[in-house]
Amino acid sequence: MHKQQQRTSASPEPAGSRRAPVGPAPLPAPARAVPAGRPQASPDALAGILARTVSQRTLARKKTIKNGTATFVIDPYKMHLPNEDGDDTDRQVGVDVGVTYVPAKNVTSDKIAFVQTIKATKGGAAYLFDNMKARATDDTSDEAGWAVDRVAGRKSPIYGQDNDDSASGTVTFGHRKTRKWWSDKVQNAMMRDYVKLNRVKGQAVTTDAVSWAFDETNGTYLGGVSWGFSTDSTGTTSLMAPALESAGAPTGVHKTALQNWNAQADLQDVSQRNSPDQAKIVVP
Amino acid sequence: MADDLLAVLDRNSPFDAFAEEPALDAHAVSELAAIDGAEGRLVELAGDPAAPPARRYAAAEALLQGQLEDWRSSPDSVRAVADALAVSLREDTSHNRWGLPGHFAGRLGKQLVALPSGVDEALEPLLDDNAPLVIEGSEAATINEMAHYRIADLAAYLLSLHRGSVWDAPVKPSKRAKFIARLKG
Repeated sequence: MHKQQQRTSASPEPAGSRRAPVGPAPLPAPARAVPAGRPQASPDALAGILARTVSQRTLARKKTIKNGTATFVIDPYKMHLPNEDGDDTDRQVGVDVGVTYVPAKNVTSDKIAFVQTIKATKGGAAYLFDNMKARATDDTSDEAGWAVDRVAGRKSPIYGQDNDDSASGTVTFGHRKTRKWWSDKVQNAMMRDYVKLNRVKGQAVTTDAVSWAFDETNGTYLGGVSWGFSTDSTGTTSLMAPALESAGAPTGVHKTALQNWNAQADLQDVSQRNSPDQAKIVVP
Repeated sequence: MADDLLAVLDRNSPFDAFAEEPALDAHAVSELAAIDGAEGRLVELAGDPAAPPARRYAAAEALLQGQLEDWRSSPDSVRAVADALAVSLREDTSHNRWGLPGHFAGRLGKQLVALPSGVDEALEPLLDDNAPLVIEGSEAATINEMAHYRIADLAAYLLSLHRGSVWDAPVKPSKRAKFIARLKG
């Protein structure tokens, strides 16, 4: 099994103090005058709105992870709404995460991006989309179900890279073009991921991911941070505490996932590839 | 024997199937194929607007899986399957199996656009459906979240694939409306 990850309860309140789940809480209304005749929110409703706002702010607190002189910043990091603890119904669950990589001072690169490895489960079984089945790790690996995370039809293994090599709206490519500390030729690499999975009543759902900073110019990995969530069979969701998975290159099942991406790129049946002209990835 | 057929179709809701797995497995399709007159009955159910959407969806899935093939030579039967698929797309709880506009056609999206007739008539009514797409996953879900894709966008994308036309719809939903309007008959 993959190493056990520490998960933190999504609710900042102690068990038993929470209001009974009543489905999605209303979003806070914009601050404006209430027209005459329109009913105003009751004190209880306002208290609920305030509690949810505080809760979301708590969850959205950013996490900074040092990796030598480089830094990973996890911000935001929060669950999707509606996502009440104990809401054991058919619904979508997931996490909204932003990852920023601030390059180390010894890195000089024209392009820093992210390669992401991911595993999702439903009811304890790996949950794979068609384009990922041919490259997912299997039982001969440390753990089955891990794969490089790319949407179907994209040729590059780099998360968020379009087929014309530009950055899609989900990412910003980074660079660090000089080693001089006063230089302004530095762009942090950034990515955004809104993981969403459908869950049926009573079903446990999980996602574990590692976002690897990748220096494409020099073909080296700059470390990776792990994150994820789990929703248990009662409908309670916990976020994994983000952590440095590796200070450098992917190892173990993550390295196998990279190798499997390249094997998929070599498949004779192009319909089994992520894209007919699927590009290979650097394997450390 | 119609009850046997319905029992197989209603065994599992296709809307609850894993994102890209068939709603009926090969064993279930074999059970259906063994029932006298099953193919005609499945076509009838697929094309019946009064039938429950889940049952029409399951009937279409059964017909698409290759064990029952006579329906493909009848334009009316093909139209019935196309209609059932369009209704299923609209009602589905996971659209990964249909596709993501501008990115890929899913398993059922590919089967729908490959039908020789009835596709335009089946998809055009969806071009005004502004319900949001439900996309599962990581990067695909992120793209969907940012682009605010709707049923109308997916229908337009599949229609473009079917017609062999270029999909260059604007990213902004308000501007996509004009692009989609051009696809209407």
